[in-house]
Amino acid sequence: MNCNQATTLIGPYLDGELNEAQAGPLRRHLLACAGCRTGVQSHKDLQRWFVEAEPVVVPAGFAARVAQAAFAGESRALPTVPALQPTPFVVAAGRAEDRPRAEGRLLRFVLGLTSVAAAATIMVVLSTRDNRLSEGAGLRADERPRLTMDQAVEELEALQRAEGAGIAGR
Amino acid sequence: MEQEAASDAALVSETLAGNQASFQLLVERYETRVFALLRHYVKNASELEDLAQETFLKAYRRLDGFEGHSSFYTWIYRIGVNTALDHLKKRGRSPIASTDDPEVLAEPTQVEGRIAAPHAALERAEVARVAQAALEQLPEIFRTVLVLREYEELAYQDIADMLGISIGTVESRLFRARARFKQAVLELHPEYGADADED
Ligand SMILES: [Zn+2]
Repeated sequence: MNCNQATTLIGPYLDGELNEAQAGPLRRHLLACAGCRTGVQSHKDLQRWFVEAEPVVVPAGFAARVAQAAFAGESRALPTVPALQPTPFVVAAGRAEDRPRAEGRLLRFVLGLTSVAAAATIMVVLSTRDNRLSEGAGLRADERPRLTMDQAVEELEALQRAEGAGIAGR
Repeated sequence: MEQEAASDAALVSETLAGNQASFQLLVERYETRVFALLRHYVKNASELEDLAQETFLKAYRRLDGFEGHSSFYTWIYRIGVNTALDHLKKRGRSPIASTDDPEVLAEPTQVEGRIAAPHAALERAEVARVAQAALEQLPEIFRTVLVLREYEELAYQDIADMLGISIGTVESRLFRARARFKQAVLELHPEYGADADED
Protein backbone atom coordinates (compact mmCIF):
# COMPACT_ATOMS: atom_id res chain seq x y z
CA MET A 1 0.00 0.00 0.00
CA ASN A 2 1.30 3.42 -0.87
CA CYS A 3 0.57 6.74 0.76
CA ASN A 4 -2.06 7.76 -1.78
CA GLN A 5 -4.02 4.59 -1.20
CA ALA A 6 -3.62 4.93 2.54
CA THR A 7 -4.83 8.53 2.43
CA THR A 8 -8.12 7.58 0.79
CA LEU A 9 -8.67 4.76 3.28
CA ILE A 10 -8.08 6.72 6.46
CA GLY A 11 -11.59 8.20 6.47
CA PRO A 12 -13.39 4.88 5.91
CA TYR A 13 -11.05 3.26 8.43
CA LEU A 14 -11.87 5.74 11.19
CA ASP A 15 -15.53 5.55 10.25
CA GLY A 16 -15.43 1.81 10.91
CA GLU A 17 -16.22 1.03 7.29
CA LEU A 18 -13.29 -1.24 6.46
CA ASN A 19 -13.32 -4.96 6.96
CA GLU A 20 -10.28 -6.62 8.43
CA ALA A 21 -8.86 -7.58 5.04
CA GLN A 22 -8.84 -3.90 4.14
CA ALA A 23 -7.85 -2.50 7.51
CA GLY A 24 -4.87 -4.84 8.02
CA PRO A 25 -2.73 -3.49 5.18
CA LEU A 26 -3.62 0.05 6.18
CA ARG A 27 -2.50 -0.54 9.76
CA ARG A 28 0.78 -2.00 8.54
CA HIS A 29 1.31 1.05 6.37
CA LEU A 30 0.52 3.36 9.27
CA LEU A 31 3.04 1.58 11.46
CA ALA A 32 5.71 2.26 8.90
CA CYS A 33 4.70 5.73 7.75
CA ALA A 34 4.82 8.74 10.04
CA GLY A 35 3.31 10.96 7.36
CA CYS A 36 0.12 8.93 7.16
CA ARG A 37 -0.07 8.66 10.94
CA THR A 38 -0.16 12.44 10.94
CA GLY A 39 -2.97 12.12 8.43
CA VAL A 40 -4.91 9.99 10.88
CA GLN A 41 -4.45 12.53 13.63
CA SER A 42 -5.43 15.31 11.28
CA HIS A 43 -8.60 13.45 10.41
CA LYS A 44 -9.47 12.98 14.08
CA ASP A 45 -8.84 16.66 14.73
CA LEU A 46 -11.14 17.54 11.89
CA GLN A 47 -13.91 15.32 13.19
CA ARG A 48 -13.90 17.05 16.55
CA TRP A 49 -15.38 20.12 14.90
CA PHE A 50 -18.62 18.33 14.15
CA VAL A 51 -20.51 18.90 17.35
CA GLU A 52 -24.14 19.80 17.80
CA ALA A 53 -24.63 23.17 19.40
CA GLU A 54 -27.45 22.11 21.62
CA PRO A 55 -30.01 19.33 21.90
CA VAL A 56 -32.83 19.36 19.43
CA VAL A 57 -36.06 20.76 20.78
CA VAL A 58 -39.16 19.67 18.94
CA PRO A 59 -42.04 22.06 19.58
CA ALA A 60 -44.74 20.62 21.82
CA GLY A 61 -47.60 19.05 19.95
CA PHE A 62 -45.71 18.89 16.68
CA ALA A 63 -46.59 15.30 15.86
CA ALA A 64 -50.25 15.80 16.68
CA ARG A 65 -50.43 18.85 14.45
CA VAL A 66 -48.71 17.09 11.58
CA ALA A 67 -50.92 14.03 11.86
CA GLN A 68 -53.99 16.19 11.97
CA ALA A 69 -52.87 18.18 8.95
CA ALA A 70 -52.10 15.00 7.06
CA PHE A 71 -55.53 13.53 7.68
CA ALA A 72 -57.30 16.82 7.11
CA GLY A 73 -56.00 17.00 3.58
CA GLU A 74 -52.91 18.99 4.44
CA SER A 75 -54.40 22.25 3.36
CA ARG A 76 -54.35 24.45 6.42
CA ALA A 77 -51.60 27.04 6.73
CA LEU A 78 -49.04 24.66 5.39
CA PRO A 79 -46.31 25.47 3.00
CA THR A 80 -47.49 24.32 -0.35
CA VAL A 81 -45.37 21.60 -1.79
CA PRO A 82 -44.97 21.91 -5.52
CA ALA A 83 -44.94 18.89 -7.73
CA LEU A 84 -41.57 17.37 -8.36
CA GLN A 85 -40.59 19.14 -11.48
CA PRO A 86 -37.54 21.00 -12.64
CA THR A 87 -37.80 24.73 -12.31
CA PRO A 88 -35.42 27.33 -13.66
CA PHE A 89 -32.59 27.57 -11.28
CA VAL A 90 -32.00 30.79 -9.45
CA VAL A 91 -28.34 31.51 -9.25
CA ALA A 92 -27.42 33.13 -6.00
CA ALA A 93 -24.86 35.82 -5.57
CA GLY A 94 -21.35 34.84 -4.76
CA ARG A 95 -19.71 31.57 -5.55
CA ALA A 96 -22.33 30.49 -8.02
CA GLU A 97 -21.72 33.08 -10.69
CA ASP A 98 -19.33 30.96 -12.65
CA ARG A 99 -21.59 27.96 -12.56
CA PRO A 100 -23.59 27.98 -15.73
CA ARG A 101 -26.80 26.40 -16.93
CA ALA A 102 -26.48 22.97 -15.46
CA GLU A 103 -27.16 24.11 -11.92
CA GLY A 104 -29.93 22.08 -10.49
CA ARG A 105 -29.45 19.03 -12.62
CA LEU A 106 -28.42 17.02 -9.64
CA LEU A 107 -31.36 18.32 -7.70
CA ARG A 108 -33.67 17.20 -10.45
CA PHE A 109 -31.89 13.90 -10.29
CA VAL A 110 -32.45 13.65 -6.57
CA LEU A 111 -36.06 14.69 -6.93
CA GLY A 112 -36.48 12.20 -9.70
CA LEU A 113 -35.28 9.54 -7.37
CA THR A 114 -37.66 10.73 -4.74
CA SER A 115 -40.60 10.27 -7.02
CA VAL A 116 -39.83 6.60 -6.98
CA ALA A 117 -38.28 6.76 -3.58
CA ALA A 118 -39.01 3.37 -2.19
CA ALA A 119 -38.35 1.50 -5.40
CA ALA A 120 -35.08 3.28 -6.01
CA THR A 121 -33.92 2.74 -2.48
CA ILE A 122 -34.61 -0.94 -2.66
CA MET A 123 -32.74 -1.30 -5.89
CA VAL A 124 -29.68 0.47 -4.58
CA VAL A 125 -29.69 -1.64 -1.45
CA LEU A 126 -28.76 -4.55 -3.64
CA SER A 127 -25.19 -3.42 -3.96
CA THR A 128 -23.41 -5.17 -1.16
CA ARG A 129 -20.85 -3.98 1.27
CA ASP A 130 -18.44 -6.66 0.13
CA ASN A 131 -18.29 -5.10 -3.28
CA ARG A 132 -17.62 -1.72 -1.86
CA LEU A 133 -14.01 -1.41 -2.91
CA SER A 134 -14.37 -2.96 -6.28
CA GLU A 135 -14.23 -0.67 -9.20
CA GLY A 136 -17.39 0.27 -10.99
CA ALA A 137 -19.46 -0.01 -7.86
CA GLY A 138 -22.31 1.82 -9.53
CA LEU A 139 -25.74 0.62 -10.37
CA ARG A 140 -25.64 -2.41 -12.55
CA ALA A 141 -28.08 -2.66 -15.39
CA ASP A 142 -30.14 -5.32 -13.68
CA GLU A 143 -30.54 -3.13 -10.62
CA ARG A 144 -31.96 -0.28 -12.58
CA PRO A 145 -35.36 0.79 -11.55
CA ARG A 146 -37.58 1.22 -14.56
CA LEU A 147 -39.05 4.16 -16.37
CA THR A 148 -38.48 7.45 -14.67
CA MET A 149 -35.16 6.28 -13.35
CA ASP A 150 -33.56 6.43 -16.76
CA GLN A 151 -32.60 10.04 -16.66
CA ALA A 152 -31.61 9.78 -13.04
CA VAL A 153 -29.31 6.89 -13.76
CA GLU A 154 -27.72 8.79 -16.58
CA GLU A 155 -26.93 11.64 -14.23
CA LEU A 156 -25.71 9.26 -11.59
CA GLU A 157 -23.38 7.49 -13.94
CA ALA A 158 -21.92 10.76 -15.14
CA LEU A 159 -21.24 11.76 -11.57
CA GLN A 160 -19.76 8.42 -10.70
CA ARG A 161 -17.46 8.46 -13.69
CA ALA A 162 -16.31 11.88 -12.68
CA GLU A 163 -15.86 10.98 -9.06
CA GLY A 164 -14.37 7.59 -9.80
CA ALA A 165 -11.70 9.29 -11.84
CA GLY A 166 -10.88 11.43 -8.85
CA ILE A 167 -9.59 8.72 -6.60
CA ALA A 168 -6.70 6.87 -8.06
CA GLY A 169 -5.70 3.33 -7.41
CA ARG A 170 -9.07 2.13 -6.23
CA MET B 1 -33.50 -0.28 15.05
CA GLU B 2 -33.99 -3.87 13.98
CA GLN B 3 -36.79 -4.29 16.45
CA GLU B 4 -38.38 -1.07 15.41
CA ALA B 5 -38.60 -2.12 11.80
CA ALA B 6 -41.58 -4.40 12.26
CA SER B 7 -43.25 -1.89 14.43
CA ASP B 8 -42.66 0.90 11.92
CA ALA B 9 -44.15 -1.29 9.23
CA ALA B 10 -47.17 -1.92 11.42
CA LEU B 11 -47.63 1.81 12.01
CA VAL B 12 -47.35 2.43 8.30
CA SER B 13 -50.04 -0.18 7.58
CA GLU B 14 -52.31 1.26 10.22
CA THR B 15 -51.79 4.76 8.87
CA LEU B 16 -52.64 3.59 5.39
CA ALA B 17 -55.76 2.01 6.84
CA GLY B 18 -56.78 5.43 8.09
CA ASN B 19 -55.48 5.50 11.63
CA GLN B 20 -54.36 9.03 12.41
CA ALA B 21 -52.98 8.09 15.83
CA SER B 22 -50.63 5.59 14.23
CA PHE B 23 -49.23 8.24 11.95
CA GLN B 24 -48.79 10.53 14.94
CA LEU B 25 -46.78 7.79 16.67
CA LEU B 26 -44.62 7.44 13.61
CA VAL B 27 -43.97 11.18 13.57
CA GLU B 28 -43.18 11.15 17.29
CA ARG B 29 -40.69 8.39 16.76
CA TYR B 30 -38.71 10.25 14.13
CA GLU B 31 -39.36 13.93 14.75
CA THR B 32 -36.18 14.51 16.77
CA ARG B 33 -33.97 12.97 14.12
CA VAL B 34 -35.69 14.86 11.36
CA PHE B 35 -35.35 18.17 13.21
CA ALA B 36 -31.68 17.42 13.89
CA LEU B 37 -31.10 16.73 10.24
CA LEU B 38 -32.94 19.76 8.94
CA ARG B 39 -31.33 22.27 11.24
CA HIS B 40 -28.15 21.82 9.29
CA TYR B 41 -29.96 23.47 6.42
CA VAL B 42 -32.09 26.15 8.07
CA LYS B 43 -31.55 28.11 11.24
CA ASN B 44 -34.78 29.92 11.89
CA ALA B 45 -37.02 27.96 14.28
CA SER B 46 -40.29 28.46 12.42
CA GLU B 47 -38.63 27.71 9.11
CA LEU B 48 -37.26 24.54 10.66
CA GLU B 49 -40.66 23.48 11.88
CA ASP B 50 -42.21 24.19 8.48
CA LEU B 51 -39.59 22.06 6.78
CA ALA B 52 -40.04 19.23 9.26
CA GLN B 53 -43.79 19.36 8.77
CA GLU B 54 -43.37 19.38 5.03
CA THR B 55 -41.10 16.36 5.30
CA PHE B 56 -43.64 14.34 7.25
CA LEU B 57 -46.52 15.40 5.04
CA LYS B 58 -44.62 14.33 1.96
CA ALA B 59 -43.92 11.05 3.68
CA TYR B 60 -47.61 10.68 4.45
CA ARG B 61 -48.56 11.26 0.85
CA ARG B 62 -46.03 8.70 -0.35
CA LEU B 63 -46.57 6.22 2.40
CA ASP B 64 -48.03 3.62 0.10
CA GLY B 65 -44.68 3.66 -1.69
CA PHE B 66 -42.86 2.67 1.47
CA GLU B 67 -42.64 -1.08 1.37
CA GLY B 68 -40.55 -1.73 4.39
CA HIS B 69 -37.55 -3.03 2.49
CA SER B 70 -35.48 -0.12 3.68
CA SER B 71 -35.68 1.19 7.20
CA PHE B 72 -38.22 3.90 7.74
CA TYR B 73 -35.66 6.34 9.03
CA THR B 74 -33.58 5.97 5.86
CA TRP B 75 -36.70 6.69 3.89
CA ILE B 76 -37.80 9.68 5.95
CA TYR B 77 -34.25 11.11 5.99
CA ARG B 78 -34.16 10.92 2.28
CA ILE B 79 -37.38 12.87 2.03
CA GLY B 80 -36.00 15.33 4.58
CA VAL B 81 -32.81 15.94 2.64
CA ASN B 82 -34.72 16.46 -0.58
CA THR B 83 -37.13 18.79 1.15
CA ALA B 84 -34.25 20.84 2.55
CA LEU B 85 -32.47 21.06 -0.79
CA ASP B 86 -35.67 22.03 -2.52
CA HIS B 87 -36.24 24.71 0.08
CA LEU B 88 -32.76 26.16 -0.36
CA LYS B 89 -33.23 26.21 -4.07
CA LYS B 90 -36.49 28.11 -3.77
CA ARG B 91 -34.76 30.61 -1.55
CA GLY B 92 -32.15 31.18 -4.19
CA ARG B 93 -29.31 29.84 -2.12
CA SER B 94 -27.00 28.27 -4.65
CA PRO B 95 -27.54 24.80 -3.37
CA ILE B 96 -26.67 22.11 -5.77
CA ALA B 97 -23.53 21.68 -7.69
CA SER B 98 -24.34 20.08 -10.96
CA THR B 99 -22.62 16.92 -12.03
CA ASP B 100 -20.35 18.79 -14.39
CA ASP B 101 -19.60 21.66 -12.09
CA PRO B 102 -15.85 22.19 -12.22
CA GLU B 103 -15.88 22.78 -8.51
CA VAL B 104 -17.35 19.34 -7.92
CA LEU B 105 -15.20 17.60 -10.47
CA ALA B 106 -11.96 19.11 -9.28
CA GLU B 107 -9.38 16.59 -8.21
CA PRO B 108 -9.58 15.98 -4.49
CA THR B 109 -6.40 17.76 -3.71
CA GLN B 110 -4.82 17.63 -0.34
CA VAL B 111 -5.47 20.96 1.26
CA GLU B 112 -2.38 22.75 2.39
CA GLY B 113 -2.17 22.94 6.13
CA ARG B 114 -4.16 21.25 8.81
CA ILE B 115 -6.80 22.44 11.14
CA ALA B 116 -6.23 21.77 14.77
CA ALA B 117 -8.83 20.11 16.92
CA PRO B 118 -11.00 22.75 18.57
CA HIS B 119 -9.16 24.19 21.53
CA ALA B 120 -10.45 23.03 24.88
CA ALA B 121 -11.21 26.59 25.86
CA LEU B 122 -13.48 27.09 22.89
CA GLU B 123 -17.16 26.98 23.82
CA ARG B 124 -19.09 24.10 22.34
CA ALA B 125 -21.51 26.55 20.76
CA GLU B 126 -18.62 28.37 19.10
CA VAL B 127 -17.20 25.13 17.71
CA ALA B 128 -20.62 24.27 16.31
CA ARG B 129 -20.99 27.75 14.85
CA VAL B 130 -17.62 27.61 13.09
CA ALA B 131 -18.40 24.18 11.66
CA GLN B 132 -21.83 25.27 10.50
CA ALA B 133 -20.40 28.36 8.81
CA ALA B 134 -17.85 26.19 7.02
CA LEU B 135 -20.51 23.70 5.96
CA GLU B 136 -22.54 26.49 4.44
CA GLN B 137 -19.63 27.26 2.13
CA LEU B 138 -19.77 23.82 0.57
CA PRO B 139 -21.74 22.67 -2.46
CA GLU B 140 -24.79 20.87 -1.13
CA ILE B 141 -23.74 17.41 -2.23
CA PHE B 142 -20.73 17.76 0.03
CA ARG B 143 -22.59 19.35 2.89
CA THR B 144 -25.15 16.58 2.79
CA VAL B 145 -22.69 13.69 3.06
CA LEU B 146 -20.89 15.42 5.92
CA VAL B 147 -24.14 16.03 7.77
CA LEU B 148 -25.27 12.45 7.30
CA ARG B 149 -21.92 11.00 8.33
CA GLU B 150 -20.50 13.35 10.94
CA TYR B 151 -23.62 14.50 12.73
CA GLU B 152 -26.10 11.75 12.05
CA GLU B 153 -23.37 9.10 12.11
CA LEU B 154 -24.98 7.02 9.42
CA ALA B 155 -23.17 4.07 7.90
CA TYR B 156 -21.96 4.50 4.34
CA GLN B 157 -24.52 1.97 3.17
CA ASP B 158 -27.34 4.01 4.67
CA ILE B 159 -26.03 7.19 3.08
CA ALA B 160 -25.74 5.40 -0.23
CA ASP B 161 -29.31 4.12 0.01
CA MET B 162 -30.59 7.48 1.04
CA LEU B 163 -28.96 9.43 -1.74
CA GLY B 164 -29.27 6.74 -4.36
CA ILE B 165 -25.53 6.54 -4.94
CA SER B 166 -22.98 3.76 -4.59
CA ILE B 167 -20.84 3.26 -1.52
CA GLY B 168 -17.80 4.10 -3.63
CA THR B 169 -19.39 7.43 -4.46
CA VAL B 170 -20.16 8.04 -0.79
CA GLU B 171 -16.48 7.46 -0.01
CA SER B 172 -15.11 9.71 -2.68
CA ARG B 173 -17.67 12.39 -1.94
CA LEU B 174 -16.84 12.28 1.77
CA PHE B 175 -13.15 12.48 0.97
CA ARG B 176 -13.67 15.61 -1.07
CA ALA B 177 -16.16 17.04 1.38
CA ARG B 178 -13.73 16.75 4.27
CA ALA B 179 -10.99 18.43 2.27
CA ARG B 180 -13.39 21.23 1.37
CA PHE B 181 -14.55 21.57 4.92
CA LYS B 182 -10.99 21.89 6.16
CA GLN B 183 -10.27 24.46 3.50
CA ALA B 184 -13.39 26.43 4.42
CA VAL B 185 -12.50 26.49 8.12
CA LEU B 186 -8.99 27.68 7.33
CA GLU B 187 -10.29 30.39 5.03
CA LEU B 188 -12.85 31.60 7.54
CA HIS B 189 -10.60 31.13 10.56
CA PRO B 190 -6.89 30.94 9.76
CA GLU B 191 -6.28 31.03 13.50
CA TYR B 192 -7.52 27.45 13.78
CA GLY B 193 -4.80 26.10 11.55
CA ALA B 194 -2.49 23.59 13.15
CA ASP B 195 1.11 24.61 13.50
CA ALA B 196 3.32 22.83 11.04
CA ASP B 197 5.55 21.46 13.76
CA GLU B 198 2.68 20.41 15.99
CA ASP B 199 2.55 16.69 16.56
ZN1 LIG C 1 2.09 6.83 4.03
